[in-house]
Amino acid sequence: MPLFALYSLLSSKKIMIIKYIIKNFRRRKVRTILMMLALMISTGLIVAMSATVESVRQSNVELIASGVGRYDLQFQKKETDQEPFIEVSQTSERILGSSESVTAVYPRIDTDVALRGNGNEATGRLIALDQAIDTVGFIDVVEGEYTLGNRQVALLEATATSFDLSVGDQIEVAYSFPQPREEGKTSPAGSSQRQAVDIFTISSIVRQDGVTDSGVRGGLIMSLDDAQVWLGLDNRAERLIALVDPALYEERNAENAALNVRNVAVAVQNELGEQYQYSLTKAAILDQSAQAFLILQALINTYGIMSLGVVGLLVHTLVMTNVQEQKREMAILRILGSERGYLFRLVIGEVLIVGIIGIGLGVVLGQIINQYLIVPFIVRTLTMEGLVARLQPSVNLVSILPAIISASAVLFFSALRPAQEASTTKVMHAINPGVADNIQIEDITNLRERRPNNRFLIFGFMLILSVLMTIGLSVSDTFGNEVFSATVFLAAFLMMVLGIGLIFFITTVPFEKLVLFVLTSVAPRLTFFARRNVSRNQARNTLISMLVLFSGVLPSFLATDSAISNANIETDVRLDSGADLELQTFSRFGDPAFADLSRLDGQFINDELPAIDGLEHVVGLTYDYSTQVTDSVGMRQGSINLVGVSDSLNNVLFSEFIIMTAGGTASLDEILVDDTAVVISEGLALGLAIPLGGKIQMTGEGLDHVEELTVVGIARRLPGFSNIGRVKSQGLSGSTVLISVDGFKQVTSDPQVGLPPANARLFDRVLASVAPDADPNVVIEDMSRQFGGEYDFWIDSVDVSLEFARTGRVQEQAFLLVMTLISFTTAVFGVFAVIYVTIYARRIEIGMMKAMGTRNWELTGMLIVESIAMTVSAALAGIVAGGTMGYLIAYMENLTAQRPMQFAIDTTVMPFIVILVVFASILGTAFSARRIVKRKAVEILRM
Amino acid sequence: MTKPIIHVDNVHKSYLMGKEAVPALRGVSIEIQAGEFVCLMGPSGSGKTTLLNIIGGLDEPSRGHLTIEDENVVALSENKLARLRLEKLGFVFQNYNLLANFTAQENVEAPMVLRKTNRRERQTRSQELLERVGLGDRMHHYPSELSGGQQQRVAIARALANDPPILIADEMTGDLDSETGFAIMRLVKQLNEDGMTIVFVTHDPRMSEFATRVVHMQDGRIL
Repeated sequence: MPLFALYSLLSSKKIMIIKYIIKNFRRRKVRTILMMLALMISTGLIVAMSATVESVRQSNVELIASGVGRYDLQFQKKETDQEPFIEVSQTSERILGSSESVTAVYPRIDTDVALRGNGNEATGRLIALDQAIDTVGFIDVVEGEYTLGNRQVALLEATATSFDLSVGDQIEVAYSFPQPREEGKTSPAGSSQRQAVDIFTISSIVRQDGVTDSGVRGGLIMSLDDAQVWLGLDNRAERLIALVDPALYEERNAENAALNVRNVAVAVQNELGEQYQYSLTKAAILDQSAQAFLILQALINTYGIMSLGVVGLLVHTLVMTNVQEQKREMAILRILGSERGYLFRLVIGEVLIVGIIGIGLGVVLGQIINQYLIVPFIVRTLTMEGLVARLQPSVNLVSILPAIISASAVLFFSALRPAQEASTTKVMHAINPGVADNIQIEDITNLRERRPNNRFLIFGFMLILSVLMTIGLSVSDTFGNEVFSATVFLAAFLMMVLGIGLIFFITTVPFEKLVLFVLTSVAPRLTFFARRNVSRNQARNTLISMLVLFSGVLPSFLATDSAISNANIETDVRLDSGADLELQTFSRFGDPAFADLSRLDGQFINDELPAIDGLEHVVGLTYDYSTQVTDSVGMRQGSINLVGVSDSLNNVLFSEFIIMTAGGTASLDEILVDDTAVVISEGLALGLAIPLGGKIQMTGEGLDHVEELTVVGIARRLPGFSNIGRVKSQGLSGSTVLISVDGFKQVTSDPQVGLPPANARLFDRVLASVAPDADPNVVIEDMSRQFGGEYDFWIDSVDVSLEFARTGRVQEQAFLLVMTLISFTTAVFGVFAVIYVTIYARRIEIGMMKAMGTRNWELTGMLIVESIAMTVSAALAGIVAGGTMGYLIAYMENLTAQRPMQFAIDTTVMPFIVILVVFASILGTAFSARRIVKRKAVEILRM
Repeated sequence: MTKPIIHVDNVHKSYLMGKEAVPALRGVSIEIQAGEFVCLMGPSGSGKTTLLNIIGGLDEPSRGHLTIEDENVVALSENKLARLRLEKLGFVFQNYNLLANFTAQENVEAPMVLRKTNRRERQTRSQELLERVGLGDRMHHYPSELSGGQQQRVAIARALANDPPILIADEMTGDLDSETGFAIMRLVKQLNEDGMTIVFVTHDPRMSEFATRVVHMQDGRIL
């Protein structure tokens, strides 16, 4: 559109505003560029962060798929069905017809087999699939050509390596046919299973990603046709997998996405009936990850808001400086007849144009950062974790819009005060600036008018803030709205960060003195000048200190939290596990109605398990029996979980973590010989006001069944038992009470029915100690090999848990460094802008110093020392604030959880903050000072 | 005749105003002997402040020579020029130009810090100088707590801090009332009588009477 046409659309007043603004931009190029750059960078970072959340959100499904298999639903026959295999053609048709959202169904065999080759034996996974249609997951070929059929198989890399097999070699595969069991009964132990054994030729060595779950590294992939011929399964498969419409996952709310998939599974269930078992692992994990995702989002939003706040301060400072400098011009405009609104619009218009350009460029920058930095970083981290991440950079309207809205809001509020200041310019500013700020004739209207005082409003709001937060949290709990919960969480987090920052602001003064003291020994002459300016220039210092301090609090808090967690990993893992090895049955976390099917019996605990080489002591723990306890007269009561213990816990628990308030560790043995003796938590003892030797009444199974039990031990902490502690309220609501297995049977059996049989399946957890000379990993392997086929359980060792936890910490550290860099980038801009403006305002002083004979490098050095003193002191205050908050929270958490805590100091993020700040001060000051210092003294004095 | 302490020889100075060069000095030559009290007078735009700035090493001539105590100032590097100002010249300006965050004593100490004078000596000398200018009781006051006359006295004390042989003053009484202005001039006269060379610019003929030589300028030339 020609300029003339554009002009004709605007009134002459508006054209004048635009002309004036453009002239101002030309006059103050550096300031304008600074504002645009700060806006661009902060908006860019927020867009990048939002896009990261969006990328992670969208790729979450992808990552989960990589972990659990890149399919959505899985159908298998129930163990009780007499025909364990599925007829493929018709069943597939029925599944496809049950819901429009099911897009594909593929038959598979995916089961454990025994493998033998090159003199080696091991178990591995057999995956039989129809290569022509079943393209679920990815295959990376390490060697050979991935072709299945004609008795050729693809061997998974781990097996190829451990068996030392190559392409062209042969491998023997032994498959045990599943034995259907009678409903309500377990399959008879030791009964013989039909086996099929055959030899296949290796056509390729491959790695799989998402074909099945990521834990499968060993085994082989076979053509389904070959498997069907070999096993005599004509048109039958062991399972069917299905894909659903990917649109079902395109929900911002992970929980809703998971429920969408569940609806499809329900539709299939309605079609196929109860003889199948349905698995939606991907949706289930997505559902569970919703909460963690919420916290990540809130954390990133907090960083974003902190960064924008800093930019807001920066814009406010620069625009206010512009307004102050333009006061005379504005006063002249007023003399010429400008209304106040015109001056207001002049400032807002200037900021608006800066905003449009800065935010626009920021959006582009955000996309670049996300695409070329963040996504590759996530992919690299996940790859290091062994996950194959196929992330697509995701910058869309959802990730851009919040950044644009937040940046615009911050910009508007930053410009509001300067615009008001401009609009209140008095004509006297042009005539006699010295008296302009005194009350003038035009102020009389303001004196007459009573206006609302915003400070009262803010003060009132602060007073009821804690109440509002409590209400907010309870409302979010009640209504379960993810967005609302995130907002409340974010608000609470922000308040905490800002609050602690403000509390510790006072420490910037002693830190300034400390930094100046250190600098005096390095550069005494330069510090002589810096000291006075730093300690006596409050307004400027406050602004810089605030910028740096607030930017430092959150990273320091998270870094301290991470350092403490890191230092206590071993303690935490040992406390959580309780013993060298922890075995848990899946029934512990499954449907209670079927729980007893996979529980373990006494024979397994007492005879089979101890026979494993390397296991020293084994203690079986029964399932948790939830019931009520009262004092002997029923005045005080609480709910507890009763757990039966098969042997002495003293033999397996990490003894250094046991704290007994009364009865000592001997009480853990005492309960084994007295069926009416119990060990209770200190919290329960306090809650019921029961001393050692006191009696408690426990409600048992069946009508009028109450057992009187004697408290022989009171525990404050027992490793492996998280529900034992000293907190009274927790003690009365679900704390663990330990009893002998016989005592457990007494309580949990209806007297009218009688005690359960000796081999009843009561145990769902085992704690075991490993002999000092045994390798826990070998013991676990032996246990899995020997019992894995018969029982559904998993085993954790302290070593494996520790390794897992440590890997997590490394990731956390990397994330923290990136977030710190992001949050400080904007702070650096803030510091730079303030220093820039300050140096300009102090030009006469600089000119005079130069006239006196100060050399350029000395002047620059003085200004740098000043900056370092101001920023480092603020960074230290921020670090102390964040660190203290981290310690306090960790201490409180550990205090209530009865965990011993080793204090630790972060040695990565905190030094990084200080280095970043020093670097920014040096660069910012040198650059800002250069344009003034390089001039002649007389030029500076004339400016 | 003794050698002049300041020798200005055919100095020209032009300023660029847009694309046009505007001459401020047109071949000015002047010799100032040690111990002289020279006043530069002339109407606005006559070039007196430009000449003063060039003599003080704050500005450089477009053409011509300037020597101070036999040292060719025009040939000096930026750093050496700064050193020359620090050791041989003291400056007093119309608007005092004191460091706002420094007390009177710290302001006086500042040039000595730059010259690496030790702390004890700095404090003793700054105290002496402030007492000499009549501000012994205002040493710990900040500039904002002092009157205009008192601020100018601090500026004079600061100019004397490194005991320079030459004092350069630009309209040093311009912002002061007559009585204070005369008091300041009497103080400067006293310094001159103690052997210091003074070169100053003023518009006020009453102040020029303190000088031993008045140099009139017009259109960038000495009349």
